[in-house]
Amino acid sequence: MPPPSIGQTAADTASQAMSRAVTGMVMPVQQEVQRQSGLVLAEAAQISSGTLDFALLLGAVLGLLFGVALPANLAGNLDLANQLVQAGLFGRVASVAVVFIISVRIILARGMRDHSWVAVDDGHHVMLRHIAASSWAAAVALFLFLLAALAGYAMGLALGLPGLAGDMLAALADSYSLPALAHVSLRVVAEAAAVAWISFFDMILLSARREEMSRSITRKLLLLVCAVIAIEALDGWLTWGLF
Amino acid sequence: MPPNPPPNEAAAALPVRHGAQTRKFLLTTAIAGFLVGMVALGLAWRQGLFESQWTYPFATSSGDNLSRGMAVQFRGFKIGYLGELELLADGSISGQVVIKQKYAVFITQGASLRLSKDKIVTSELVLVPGAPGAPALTNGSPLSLRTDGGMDALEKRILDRVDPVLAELTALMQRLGDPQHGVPSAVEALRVSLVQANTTLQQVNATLVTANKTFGDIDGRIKDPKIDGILANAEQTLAGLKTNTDALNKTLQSSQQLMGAGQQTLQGTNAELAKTLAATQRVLNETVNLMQDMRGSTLGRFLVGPRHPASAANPADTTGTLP
Repeated sequence: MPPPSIGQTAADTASQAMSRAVTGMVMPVQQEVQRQSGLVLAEAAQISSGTLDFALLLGAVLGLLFGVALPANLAGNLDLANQLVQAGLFGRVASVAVVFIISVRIILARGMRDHSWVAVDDGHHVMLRHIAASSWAAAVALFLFLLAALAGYAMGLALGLPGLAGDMLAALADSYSLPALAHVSLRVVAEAAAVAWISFFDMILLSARREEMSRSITRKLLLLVCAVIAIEALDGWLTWGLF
Repeated sequence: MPPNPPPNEAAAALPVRHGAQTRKFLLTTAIAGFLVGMVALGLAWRQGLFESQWTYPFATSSGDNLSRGMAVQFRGFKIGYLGELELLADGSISGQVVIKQKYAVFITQGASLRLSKDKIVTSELVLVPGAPGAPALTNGSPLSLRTDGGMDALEKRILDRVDPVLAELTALMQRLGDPQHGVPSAVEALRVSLVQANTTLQQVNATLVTANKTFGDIDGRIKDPKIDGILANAEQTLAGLKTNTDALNKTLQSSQQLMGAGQQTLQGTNAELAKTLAATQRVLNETVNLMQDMRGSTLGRFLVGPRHPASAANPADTTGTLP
């Protein structure tokens, strides 16, 4: 094997130096990304604590109610029953219920200055991390809510009108619009992000002065209600007015 | 409440801590995402989204009751959906239906789409097949859309029939509401009649009150001892009168029996007289006949002479005077 030439040695040296330089620049960014992702995960886990099980329970109960109530009234019109289930149980009801569950958790934990939240409050990208964690937790809660609602709905149909349960579920499966699933997920994520931003904005700007904790929490809850209603109304207007 | 530690110190103390809570959340996220994804995939597979689809454009003059995503039905089955709908610059509507390829055999030459509003809330497109045996259309072939059928036409037909009925009903209601000849006048007449009936009833009531009072007076008078005496005397008188009446009745019965016997006597006398008269008549007839025989004889003509002409003209006349 012939010895390397001087030019080849220089090229190798330069390549190694460049590689080290790139590695030196990329590694901190990668580490920071990993660290921030870990913090988002930790905060999302904190938010979901005590909320996912409630979303699961609420979804099952509402699905059961829909399943028991619908066959008695709309068994003769599967199309209308499916529309009600899609637009209600798997639509507005799901998004509003999940967002309220998550929002109450966020606002109460933030408003009452829970010390466990300080662990992820390192002063960098706090608001973005807070929004991402809230959206993540809301999306998981929504998925659990939808799964539980589907199971509850099937059980309610089986209880309410056993002879038509299979037909009604088949009709729902045939008519359910998959984009609606993405739609409700996007809406929940947007509402959770808005609520997270409101809580952060309120904490920084409005809670700086000395005031009662209950007053601060009340204001956040009212802002939360206004934000959810506004987003639902905007979504409805965009859905029915433009598209 | 203990003061919050500085943010950066806390972050340095606990950079990222993935405890049991975090692992549980990650596991929950994975399971929920997996299940939702499987459900979505199942729905997509059931709805035929992984199958190849054919498209058929159509044009129409109005987009009423048309919406993207509305179902295309054939014999009660969903075979596709309305994929695109666009308003063109010339005012016409351009659309495109998406049909599953396995159902494209039903789109034959002469096939058309009909807008149906048979559902309460939604409308749908119904595929009307072409002539039997016609070849299937190829992908991208245009279809025609008819919007004049379905419930709209039925609604129009019903309205066409209902409108005259409603007009007649309105006219009838107007006639009934006529203040001169309708229900109000009848009600007014009825009211007048009721007022009169009320007046009459009041008068009857007053009469009854008066009668009641009169009966009260009569009752009071009946209880008077004098009336008792009078009634006792009248009773005695009536008893005597009854005795006399009975006697008179017996007398009348005796008289009647006597009159019956007299009657029988008169009837017997009358019969005897009738018998006597009949015998006398017979004797007279025989006498007349004898006289005629005698006149007919020579001795008779000699003794009695010829018969008068009047008697000769009526020989049967027996009432004539004897010579």
